[in-house]
Amino acid sequence: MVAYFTVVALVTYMGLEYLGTRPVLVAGLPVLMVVTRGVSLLFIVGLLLLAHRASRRSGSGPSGDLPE
Amino acid sequence: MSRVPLLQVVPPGLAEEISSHLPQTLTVLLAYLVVLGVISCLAGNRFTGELSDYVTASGNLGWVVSTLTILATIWSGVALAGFPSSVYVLGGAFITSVMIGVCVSAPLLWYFGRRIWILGKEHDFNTPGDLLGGYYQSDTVRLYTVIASLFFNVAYTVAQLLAGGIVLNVLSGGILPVELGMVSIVLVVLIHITTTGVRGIAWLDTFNGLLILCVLAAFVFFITRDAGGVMGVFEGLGDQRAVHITLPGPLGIFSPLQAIAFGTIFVLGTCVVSPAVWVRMHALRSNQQLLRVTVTYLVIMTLVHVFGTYFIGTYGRVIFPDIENPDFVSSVLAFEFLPFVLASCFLVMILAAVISTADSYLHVLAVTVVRDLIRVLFVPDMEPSRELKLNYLVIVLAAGMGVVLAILYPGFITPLAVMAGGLTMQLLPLLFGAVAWPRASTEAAIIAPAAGILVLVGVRFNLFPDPFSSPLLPGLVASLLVNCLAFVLISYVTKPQPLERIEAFHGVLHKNL
Repeated sequence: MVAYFTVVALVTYMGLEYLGTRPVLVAGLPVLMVVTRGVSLLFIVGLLLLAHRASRRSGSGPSGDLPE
Repeated sequence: MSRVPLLQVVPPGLAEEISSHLPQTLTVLLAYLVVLGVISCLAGNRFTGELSDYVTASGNLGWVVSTLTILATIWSGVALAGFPSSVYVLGGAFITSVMIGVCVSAPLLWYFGRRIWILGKEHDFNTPGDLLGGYYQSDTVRLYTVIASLFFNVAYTVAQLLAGGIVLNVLSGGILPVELGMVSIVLVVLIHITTTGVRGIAWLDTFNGLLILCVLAAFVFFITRDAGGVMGVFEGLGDQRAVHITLPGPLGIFSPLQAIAFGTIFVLGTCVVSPAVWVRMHALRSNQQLLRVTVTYLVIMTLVHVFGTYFIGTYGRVIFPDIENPDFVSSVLAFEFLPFVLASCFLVMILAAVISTADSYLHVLAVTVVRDLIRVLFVPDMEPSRELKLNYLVIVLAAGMGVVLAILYPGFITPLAVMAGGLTMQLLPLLFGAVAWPRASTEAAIIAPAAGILVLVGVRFNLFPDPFSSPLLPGLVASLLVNCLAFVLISYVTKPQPLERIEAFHGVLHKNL
């Protein structure tokens, strides 16, 4: 997952560098905000992947609470 | 007292306009106070009067309440009124930067939150000092957490009181003086906290969070309708459009790297290692709920900032290009485009955010001071019932001190708040060591944050230059870097924790993750 978030960080930087500096509107929104929403989406996907990996590692799925 | 408060979130002149519609405004305010009272009663009925219920709601909060209480705690009244003004001045670059910080903070909240929750359940930890002091077996480390909590919570509470006093003054048509407004807020908050504990705070935060979302949605609907659609909001910027909707923004301070660094550090300091958010982790019913909390947190933050504060700040720039104080832009815009009752709701929404932040921060301040300072250093065998009473005493003293500071030293609050975020950030390497890096030593945990704080204070007081010059967060990057480097280096040349403690922390995490 470190690799995933490193790639996302690079994509974020490239998006800001090459798209975020353009004064263009996409579907009414500035392209900078479209990039921002895209980054947010990539992080949400990353979170879901993290959870998926965690539940796979714990065997039969999420266990919830600690044993008393 | 003739004094101009420095944290003005609404223009005083608005009081005159409101005074001509006072019954409507007071009805809205009264309705909010009634809801607050009902929530207090309901939560008070569930309050067991025990310390654990007061501090962490017996670890029984669901994910919806937890998400909204984290959001409402972070959304201070100053931020809700201040972010549109930052957009007004700094353009979309500011919101992009903040959103990148929010994005980075979400996986970190999940990563650290799960570990904090597991260790809290295993060892009965409730505060940052419990966890860090327990792992490093050091009262100095515990003291760092108390100092960070004191600075952070006092600075932000005083800022909220100032903002709230002004909002109440305007909402009452100028009848209620700012100082009396602050005292009224403190009294309401004190009664609410002491009769309901963190459950009542979280329930009220849930209502306040929903109120904030609804009012912001209505606000954006009205300004978008007035602009003739989403595109109209940005086309109205005219010649300013190119610089306002792109990096590096109108002031030229947000290069892509600066946008990423500023947002990440700003949000990490005020969210991930904020004492109030940390304590919320212990209040969660289940570790598995953290995923829902962090995803929902990210989704709501994206909606609020990209479509809420960004639109308000941008359209404020279109309609009022020469406003006397950018901090007024959201409230002036509200009374320009929203029906009067809804515009009053906007001011009540700011008041709600003020109350949500102030109650959370005062509660956490008292909990950390009593548990990590008084109990550990002076009364180690303190009974839980006595600890609870002491919490009440400290919270009353802290609230009183907040009002006095807000009245006497309003100008110190903004620099203090920036510094406070930097102080809490210094706990991040220590937290990482306690939950993820068994090599971390006690010596490193004592020396590294002290080095970081020295750098932060040195740069803030111009004793030496900031190598990573950032006009928005002076010294923060340098102090964190020094702290991290010192933490790693000292850990490698000193002894790690004894095996049994590593087993009690990292071993437990390994078994349960």
